[in-house]
Amino acid sequence: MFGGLFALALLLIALASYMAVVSYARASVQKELQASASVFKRIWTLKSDALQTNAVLLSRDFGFKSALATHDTATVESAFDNLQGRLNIETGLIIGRDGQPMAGEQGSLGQTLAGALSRKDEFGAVNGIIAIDTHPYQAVAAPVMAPDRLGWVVFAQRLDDNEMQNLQGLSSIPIKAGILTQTRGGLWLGPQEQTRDYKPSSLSFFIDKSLQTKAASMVHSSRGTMIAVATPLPNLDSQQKSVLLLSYPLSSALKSYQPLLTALLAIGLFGLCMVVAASLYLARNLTRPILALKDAAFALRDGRPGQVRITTQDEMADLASAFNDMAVSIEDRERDITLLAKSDMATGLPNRSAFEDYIGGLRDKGIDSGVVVVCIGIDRYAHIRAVWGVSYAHTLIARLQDILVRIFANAYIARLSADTLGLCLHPCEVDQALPLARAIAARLDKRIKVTEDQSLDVMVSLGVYHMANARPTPDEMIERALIALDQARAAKTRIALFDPRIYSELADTLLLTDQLYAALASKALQVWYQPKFSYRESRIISVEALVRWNHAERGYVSPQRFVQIAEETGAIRDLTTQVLHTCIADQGRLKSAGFDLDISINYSGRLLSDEAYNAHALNICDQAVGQICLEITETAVIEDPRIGLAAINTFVDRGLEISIDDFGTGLSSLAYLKQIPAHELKIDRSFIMEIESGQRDALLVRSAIDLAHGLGMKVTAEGVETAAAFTLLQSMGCDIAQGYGIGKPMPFGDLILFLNDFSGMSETKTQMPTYRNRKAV
Amino acid sequence: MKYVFPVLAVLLFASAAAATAADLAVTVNNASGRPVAFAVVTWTPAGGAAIPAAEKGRAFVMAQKNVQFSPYVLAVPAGATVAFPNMDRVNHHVYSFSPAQPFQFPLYGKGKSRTMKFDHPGSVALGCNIHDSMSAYIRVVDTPYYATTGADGRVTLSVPEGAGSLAVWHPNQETPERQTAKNMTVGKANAVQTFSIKVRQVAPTAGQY
Repeated sequence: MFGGLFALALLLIALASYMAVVSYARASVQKELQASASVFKRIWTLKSDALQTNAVLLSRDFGFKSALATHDTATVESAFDNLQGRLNIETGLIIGRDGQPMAGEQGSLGQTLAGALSRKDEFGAVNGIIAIDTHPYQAVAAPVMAPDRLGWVVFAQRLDDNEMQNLQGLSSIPIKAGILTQTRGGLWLGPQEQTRDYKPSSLSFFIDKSLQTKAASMVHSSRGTMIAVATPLPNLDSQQKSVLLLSYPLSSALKSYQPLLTALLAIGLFGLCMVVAASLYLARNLTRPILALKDAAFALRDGRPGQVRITTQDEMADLASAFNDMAVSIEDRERDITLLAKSDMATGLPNRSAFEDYIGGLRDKGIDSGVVVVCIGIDRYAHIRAVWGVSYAHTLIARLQDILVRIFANAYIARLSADTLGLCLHPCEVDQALPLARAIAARLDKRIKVTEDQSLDVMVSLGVYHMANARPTPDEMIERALIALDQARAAKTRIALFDPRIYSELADTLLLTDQLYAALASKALQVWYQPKFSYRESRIISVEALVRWNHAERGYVSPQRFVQIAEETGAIRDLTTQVLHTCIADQGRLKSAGFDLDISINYSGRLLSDEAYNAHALNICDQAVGQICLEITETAVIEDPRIGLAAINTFVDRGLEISIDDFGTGLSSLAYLKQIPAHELKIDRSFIMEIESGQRDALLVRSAIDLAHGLGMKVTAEGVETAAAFTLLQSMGCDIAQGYGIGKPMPFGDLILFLNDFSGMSETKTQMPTYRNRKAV
Repeated sequence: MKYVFPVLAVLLFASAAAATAADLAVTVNNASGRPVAFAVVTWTPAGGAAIPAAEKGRAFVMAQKNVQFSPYVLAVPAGATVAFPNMDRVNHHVYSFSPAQPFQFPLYGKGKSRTMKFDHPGSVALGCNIHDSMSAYIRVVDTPYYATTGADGRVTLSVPEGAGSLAVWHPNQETPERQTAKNMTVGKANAVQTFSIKVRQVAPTAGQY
């Protein structure tokens, strides 16, 4: 590229030189032309002076005057002929007093001269060009004064090509001269032999321009470009205009500069060669090292070592050296960054990212079976860290790693999180995975010497994932081992192998959560009611609202499962709100159907601590036409007694009834039981189911009934299914029975039918009501 | 004696005419308004006028002095005789090729004179064969009423009342016959007649002008 630029510059210089030479040549030719014009005029003057001298001589001769005055034509002619012969004058004439030719030339030249001179009123000699049919003549006229003008003596010399060539011979350069005369039409014309090389129109244009600028310029001719200049000449006839056209071929002008141009060309070529050589030199000393640097930079970009070989001592070498330093420091920094990214700062152990890389590396080596991943969770790690300090905890982790390394020399061990170590072993058969985990547990569940003077009892849980045929990603493998660890902890089995079933259940729970949200949004959940039978009034006095979800694909979803999901995700608020609204609406419809029933609604313990929601629920319940009872588990209160009790008190103050649900299954505390201002105690079905066969259960139930009555609560027995249990409970003083024996949970439509049937029957207080269940639940 | 009566008649006529003569003032200017000298002003009555013998008999002189003719312009009535005395130390060869009166006096020296009678009206250009710069004019007029302007370009003619032609001739006037004329009638009192004529300023052979 540099070569190209230099070449261009050279070309421009050459062009400029050529232009300068042409311009100089033109200037010098112009000078020569102007000099020639001066010479021509000088010669002109000399010649016309010579002619004039002779003409004047004759015009002054007394005898000639006398003859002319007396119209002595013969004498005049003889005198003229005599002089013409003596002076070798080409042509001429004598014009008489009447203005007409008297002697000599009588033709058109004579007529033209006579005409021209008739317009002259001179007493002295005159001279100038006179052109006859474009042929120029040099003419001199001397008046014959006696002392008035008697006539003219005229001598003329034809300015033919010969004459012009004589003039051309006087110039130092071969100039071509011509005399042109302007016609009436404005066109400049001259003798054929002098103007045949030009186009008349362009030549005329050129002459007009040249007369204006008075400078030489270029004009095209059939013999190439000419440098020419036109100079005005005096005319004898004032009606004519003539010019002297001097021209010189441009090529001839340049010919003398040919050696100079050749020298320029040679210099140019030499310069071009130098440029090429310099470009090659530059390419080797500048371009090549730059390309090497470029390659090295690309190598560095791609993570390969990028070093440049230094061979010279110049600035390029300095640059290369600096580049090499940069490459080294980049590599160092990259190593540091990698180290930081792939290791646990506190212990220097590989971290989870490094662990993934290791497993990925195994996969890359084609090992995709017989790999076991064990996640070792240190139990109560947070406690250890709190008691012994952070650095102590880190030291413990490092110590455990030491132990593991000693057992499994070819295992890869990393710290997956603060309290979890990961161990990857290969090869390992699937049936060796659990024994391996047990061996690890056996080795680590010991008193571990953490520092020189301190030891600690460590308990670990292990999650094991063995990769056999499935192809999970390294991340998924670690995740599965961690899930197994969670499973082990949840199941308190210490060691658990990853269970794909549970794993898929977890996935399903996520799906189900989404579906639950959709069901809540579309109000697809239904509320069913289970009747509660009052022994004392011998009728159905109340129903318990139970939420049911009939999913299009899943069928009826277990309430335990979706209620748990709702509680965990917070959807329990929307769920409860919907149930409350439905129940209050249904209670109104029941009332208009003639049934005045209490409705019990399960109120999640999680909601008790949400005061805003409690207020919201209360506002809804205020719209109820009948009694609303909220069933709350005992446990919900015990978790946070202050808030729970406060909420319950508020409910009671607003006229709601409170029922203690599932009594007997949780951690029943008599202290709290005493504080809860409940109206009802519901004994869990597990006690009622066994009441007929188990003496102890019967005793417990009887005691619970007594206790509740003692605390001012009525008692509902759940799970009443048989007539024996029904009767037995009645005998124990139980107030209300609920269960399949009375009625299964049913949709609202069925409830109306059920209530109609039930009230139509004549019942005794001691008999289990019989009914037909209209619909299977 | 046979000429006596006509001469007497002329004299009588002239005297009769003179009895009713009036002054006619003429100013000759050039194109730029400057007075023109050497202009010959003539009055020719409509019926013509005889030139008295006394007038013809006056002495007219065209001298050569300092290699010049003097005066430059000499007006004479037809029939007058002009003397050409040579007052220079050199010889002169006076000639005229004018059709009105061609003549020549071959070389004659100092103190000598030649005479020539001019019978035909017209202008006669005089030259010297050996001195080209010498030039002069003799204007031969056909009327007794004529005068030549001086440097002030003015003349006053005493002419008979009546119609006639007033003319101004000048050797260098750029008109045919070098003359400008107009017809008019002269009364008892006459306004100054002004002529504005075109005169060529330079005459190479007449340096005296």
